[in-house]
Amino acid sequence: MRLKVPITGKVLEYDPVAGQIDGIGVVGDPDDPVKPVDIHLGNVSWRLVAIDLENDLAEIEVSPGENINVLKDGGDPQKPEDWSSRAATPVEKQSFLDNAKSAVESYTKDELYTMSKSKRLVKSANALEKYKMKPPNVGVREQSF
Amino acid sequence: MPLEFPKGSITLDFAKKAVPSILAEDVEGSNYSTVVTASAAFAGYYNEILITNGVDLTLATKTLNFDANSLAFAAGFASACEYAATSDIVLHLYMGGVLMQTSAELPLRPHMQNFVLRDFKALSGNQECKLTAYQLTGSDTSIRFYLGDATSQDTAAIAVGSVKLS
Repeated sequence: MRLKVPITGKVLEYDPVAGQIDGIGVVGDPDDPVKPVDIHLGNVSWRLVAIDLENDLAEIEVSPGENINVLKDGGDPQKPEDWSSRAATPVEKQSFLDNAKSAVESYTKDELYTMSKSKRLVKSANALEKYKMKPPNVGVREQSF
Repeated sequence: MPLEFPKGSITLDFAKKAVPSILAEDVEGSNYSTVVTASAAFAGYYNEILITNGVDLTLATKTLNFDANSLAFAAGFASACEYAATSDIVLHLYMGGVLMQTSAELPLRPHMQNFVLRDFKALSGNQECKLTAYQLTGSDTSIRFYLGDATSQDTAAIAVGSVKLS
């Protein structure tokens, strides 16, 4: 499942050649990295697919977590022995994805920035101009290792 | 494992510009966890490191000087669990100042789980790849690594390699 999430951080540059190689092309500031805003997506993993510098969005490929933490019936959440971890069922995995989708798509971009207390993406006019000139087939990674 | 490239491959895109598209080795390196701070109270059992809410805790990092037009690959590994029952720790993989991957939530103590995050990105010049632990909800909480003794290294590492056009 793919989601588009607002991004925060600082773009140092957009490298068109790098964009042709990796589909991303964005170089971020290590001290203020480019990343999705701090919203809790729940028990899912994700990988970056694309960065849209015109709209300040990241497209991410989201996958459900493989395991789930389960509290024993009547167990005390503060006692480690009352917890177990087991493989998530297909229904639970779909629930993980549904929760992530809801966490993003239930709100506007402005609301996500506000709720997450994340600052807007910092980018130079030069980086944006280079990004706008990229070939149309550059900007989305369809394959992964 | 054969190296695969994104849609609109290097060969195709660079061939249009009459640039040679022969791949060659560039740089490679790895690093173990930089965090070795076992609590005396827990020595020989586990190490717990506090994660401040909303701040990345660097577990392992590697900085290399990449050639121009290099395609870098990074893989971060950690075997860990989460101390508290009310917060949600995940692992982050950064390459060149961009968050490339996030893991699912770590299991709650005492259930350890192995995680591998891996991705690729074009990098040039001096660039850092790092594996971090991060938690977003609840209050500050701790990540736990199991150790043999007080001087054991935490079970986290990163490996980075790249190829370039020559």
